[in-house]
Amino acid sequence: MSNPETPAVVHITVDGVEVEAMPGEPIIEAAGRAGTFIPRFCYHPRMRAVGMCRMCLVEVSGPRGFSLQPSCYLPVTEGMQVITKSEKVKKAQVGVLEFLLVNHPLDCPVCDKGGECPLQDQTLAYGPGESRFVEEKRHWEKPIEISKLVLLDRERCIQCDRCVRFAREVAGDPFIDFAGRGDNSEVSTFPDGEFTSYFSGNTVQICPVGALTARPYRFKARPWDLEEAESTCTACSFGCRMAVQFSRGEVTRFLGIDSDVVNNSWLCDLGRFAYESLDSEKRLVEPKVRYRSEMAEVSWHDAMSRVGAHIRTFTADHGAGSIAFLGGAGFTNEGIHSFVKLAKTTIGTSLFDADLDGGVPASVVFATPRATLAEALAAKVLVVASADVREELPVLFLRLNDAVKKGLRIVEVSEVETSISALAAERLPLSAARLALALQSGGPDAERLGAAIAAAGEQGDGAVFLVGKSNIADPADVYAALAASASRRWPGAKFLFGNSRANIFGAMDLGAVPGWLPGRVATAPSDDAREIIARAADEPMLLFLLGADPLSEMPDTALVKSALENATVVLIDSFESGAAPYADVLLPLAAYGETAGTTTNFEGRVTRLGRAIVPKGQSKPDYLIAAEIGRELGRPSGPTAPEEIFAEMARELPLYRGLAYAELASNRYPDGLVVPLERKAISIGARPRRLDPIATPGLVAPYHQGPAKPFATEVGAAAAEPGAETPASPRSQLPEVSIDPAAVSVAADGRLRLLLTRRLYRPTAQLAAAPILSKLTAQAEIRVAPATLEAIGKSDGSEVKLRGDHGEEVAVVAKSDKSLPDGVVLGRLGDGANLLLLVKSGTWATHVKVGSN
Amino acid sequence: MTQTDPVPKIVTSRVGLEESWGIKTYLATGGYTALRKALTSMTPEQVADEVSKSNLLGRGGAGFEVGRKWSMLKPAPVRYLVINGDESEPATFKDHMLIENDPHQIVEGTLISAYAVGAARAFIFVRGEFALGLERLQAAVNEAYAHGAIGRNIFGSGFSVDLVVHPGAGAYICGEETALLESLEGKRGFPRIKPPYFPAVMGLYGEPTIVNNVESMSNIPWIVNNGGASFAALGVGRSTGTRIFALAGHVNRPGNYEVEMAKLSFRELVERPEYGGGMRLGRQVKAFIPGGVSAPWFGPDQLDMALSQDDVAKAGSMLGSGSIVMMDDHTCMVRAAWRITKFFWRESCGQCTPCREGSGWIEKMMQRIELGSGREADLDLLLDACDNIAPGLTWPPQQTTICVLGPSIPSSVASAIRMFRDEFLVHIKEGGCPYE
Repeated sequence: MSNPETPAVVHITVDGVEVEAMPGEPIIEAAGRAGTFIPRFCYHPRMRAVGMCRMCLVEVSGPRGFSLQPSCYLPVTEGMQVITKSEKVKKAQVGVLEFLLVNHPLDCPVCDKGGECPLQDQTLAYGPGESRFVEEKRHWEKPIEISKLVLLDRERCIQCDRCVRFAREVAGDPFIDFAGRGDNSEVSTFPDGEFTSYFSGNTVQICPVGALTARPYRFKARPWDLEEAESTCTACSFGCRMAVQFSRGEVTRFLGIDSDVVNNSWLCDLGRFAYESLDSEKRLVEPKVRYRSEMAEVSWHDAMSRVGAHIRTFTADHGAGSIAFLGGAGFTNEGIHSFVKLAKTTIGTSLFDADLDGGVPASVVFATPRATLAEALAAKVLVVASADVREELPVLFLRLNDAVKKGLRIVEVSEVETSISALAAERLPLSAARLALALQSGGPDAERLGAAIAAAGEQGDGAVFLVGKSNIADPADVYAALAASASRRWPGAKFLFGNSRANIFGAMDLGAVPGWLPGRVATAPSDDAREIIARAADEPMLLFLLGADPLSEMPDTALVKSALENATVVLIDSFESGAAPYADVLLPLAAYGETAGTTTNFEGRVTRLGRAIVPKGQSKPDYLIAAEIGRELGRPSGPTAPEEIFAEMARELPLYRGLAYAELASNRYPDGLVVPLERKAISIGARPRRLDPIATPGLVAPYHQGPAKPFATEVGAAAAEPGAETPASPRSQLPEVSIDPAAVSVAADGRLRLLLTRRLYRPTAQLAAAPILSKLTAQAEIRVAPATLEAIGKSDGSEVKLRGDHGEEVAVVAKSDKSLPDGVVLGRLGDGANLLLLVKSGTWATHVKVGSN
Repeated sequence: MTQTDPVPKIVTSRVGLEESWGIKTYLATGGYTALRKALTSMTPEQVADEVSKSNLLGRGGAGFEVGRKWSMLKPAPVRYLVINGDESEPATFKDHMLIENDPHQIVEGTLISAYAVGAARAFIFVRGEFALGLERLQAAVNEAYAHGAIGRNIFGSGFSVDLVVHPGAGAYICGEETALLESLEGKRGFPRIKPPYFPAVMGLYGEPTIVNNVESMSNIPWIVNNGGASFAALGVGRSTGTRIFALAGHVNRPGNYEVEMAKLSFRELVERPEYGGGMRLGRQVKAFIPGGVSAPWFGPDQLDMALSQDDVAKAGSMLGSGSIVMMDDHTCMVRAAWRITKFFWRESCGQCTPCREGSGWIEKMMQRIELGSGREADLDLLLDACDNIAPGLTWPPQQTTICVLGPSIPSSVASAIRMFRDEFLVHIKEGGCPYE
């Protein structure tokens, strides 16, 4: 079904009505598109059909007349006649439902699924009016914990295999399966294992009964009490479409929306359960300012006075160039736009860097042709030279896993094994710096990559590159050089970038990065986050931290600390992050779900954020905080509502021309649009958008009222509208970036090069505020070759000491890893040890010595 | 009709010989001559042709022509042959005997078939509980390798094949050919959905695969040596050759009997002194199951029916796995049907709803009636639950399930209720079993 160009059409009749179907598609899909809903439990359009529940039996014509056949896996054939409403079909449906209810407890009043339960709904619509079963039902201990997040009630399970298929096929985490036989079958973890998947929450969403429940949501709400706002997840820059559900001023859960072009209904657990932190005691809900050494809660008015006084003083004493804005990648586009205007126009400073990470810089992002996700998945070959995708952009991993099964060839460039390695046709064990140098100078490693691309029957023009920062210890130049030289070598290749902070690409587009003005307009270069921090350590500076914590996000902890101690810090955040103790002013920021606006994902896709509830306490949305500061300075910034700010962006910036705020959340463009509106999106075919594809029309309202629309017209239609002329893409020149050979130098005297990576559950103030999710917080560790541990007489899992080149020392747990190349130590950030301490700002490669004490 | 005299022993000729399972005995009694003949003097097509001519009907239960099955195999560079020795149904024990007593004959038949269908690798999947059979079959395979009958360049013919003996892990469902393939691949024994997983198109490891029964394979050497026509000359109509019937139940001499197809009646098989030797204690036949416990039952008035696949099918049942279970007039029909239902309930794999839940529910109702808590309404309820697994309760059955284990459940229950409704009513009215 993924091939939109299949020309042939198969004609079938459904209940006497002629229906055009795609060759090879199952009856259930063809009938559904024609408006005939066939009930189902096990069928899920995103997974392999298994025909287990038998709810979708219909009468199908065959050589021996009509017979009952499962419509979920029987493909349509020319002239096929399908009957979905005969007495025979009805009896089969009643029969299957009666069988399903034999062992299903009727505890609907206390079941989380009650009210949105496909078994409940379909029993009402298609089932028997009363039960003829008088015997004792099957009993199990209920419920059991199969992970820290997911509970399993085996009594309610109807053995549809959705969760097992999801875990095995979609997530690639086959940690649950059926045990037992017949009506004693149970979904089970393995004896010594948990269901430890980053994607476990999806099984709860797709469970057609209340067998799988999520601990954070359990018993919190009744579905019919929930209101809903469509939104986009901001846990990373992939931008999963999701529904924020809320009740009486509280967000109760997030559900993935079945978006063809982005997340196919899936979410990662970090995104799905992030709402846990919204109502936390640890939220920052009152403005605070420092009086002597104590922070005191004050009114917004007083806080603004203090902020205004700081701005005026710093401008007067040290010039506007002493004021810098760090962060903002977690803000809405409207918030970023407002802050950039505040900084660059009102205050007059060019110091603004949303990318504390030093990822692929905007100069390269804007100068290379960007791929859409659909283009990347449909490419002949995707070169992944990025940090572990499952840790940084989790749902992209799911999409790649799926795409590889459908023929995508992945070539991975990574020194260490990642989640992508198992999907990749080939892995080139090169560091980013080595590949970048090779591409610049044309060494054998560049030829190897060329050969790997050519092996996909591709000379490079049809290739897509995913370039991201695979080593936090590296300077950004390495990745700039890598992407730029790849783009020079394969001019037709398209790029996606792995910068993973939520709205980092919106921040780039809106000029919240050094060297750029809003709308991808180049300006004079200015200091980046590292240079700002370095300056702040030495000279008086006023630092605005926009939802950012340099301590946990930037290397060279010692330098960051002295900068924060030295600078005057205004922290704007929803949580008291690690930087809070250094702040002079704390401004409470409205959290996710409390702010409307738009966000931009890694493709450049602009989507709407849903506002579900009012900001907690005194907290305010990002754009309002910028407006307050502007007003305090006597320079009101203009519009203060997100739709007005967006309209201003669309009016003033060619990048957003043709976009209308209201349309982005409409039936026309429910998944937003990729800016600028010049590229044609790849059609994936039409699919009704529902929270759960199992939903029964007429019983459960589809998520979007109105008929499904094909996505084929996604961009073309917008461009065709009057007044929406296609702007030329603002494009800059590919930058020349040189790499110091020190980046690939081999250290002497047993020192190892440090490769630093992040994991999904990285310790953040927000994660710490989530009661259940925080239990999953990653612990810091290093991985070294077995010989390294042996040499210092340490065993796998024991604590070792890392010594940096400048005398820094970190004690950390070390694990033995046979897959590691020589000369490398892989550091994984987490709680318990601060590996960022080891990285010195401005060095091309970080080396450490592993010692026993 | 009378049998050919003497009735040729096609598959049981070595049963009872000293060390009948060893290669010494096998070679001394004409073993591996058929393989040599096929490999050195016949093309694969000629072998397949002889098998087609023999009209050998599959002996596993469905009775599909072996030759026709082979002809449906999709052309492909890799093809597999899988032999089903997972005989697990109550009262069926013919393959058990062949595996233990004449494993070489199975091996030889398998090798010839592999040659005919172009399989480079063959598997014999044997019920895990057949410990002795597995030991002897593996020993036979080892001996055959040593003898040069398996492996590279067999008998210098240029044909190579490997043969793997694989023990099952104790599930009746793995006798269903696609569940068997799943199990063989190391997966949970769930029958596959068809389409697309017809073994001849997408079988083992996704390649075209033939699945044949152990007894079917045991016939192949004889057919090659004597010609398909000689085989087809035996029997009547489509029911050619001989067949082993596992005669069980209340007869004086239960056991395996190889008889000419369609020449004897059930009555003759039961009463003749060389076969069943009559009913136990001279009692009357109350009912019998003509082809394994998944078959609908027959009554005494059908005893004179010939042991012919087509005749039995026409009368609404099947010869199936070749197991005949006789029940005398002291048998409680409710209990018998309950016991069979219990088997299917225990063995339902749990994959699809009607079988997983229906088997358990029907078993619970049958138990309730037998133990005295039945209600009159239960009889219609039972039939309706059965109807929801096998719509119409026809034979051959329709099914709402993935595989035929589902429609096997209603056979005994529906037969018992139809034939012995009064007996159910006595259980219900008297609050218990009158035979206790």
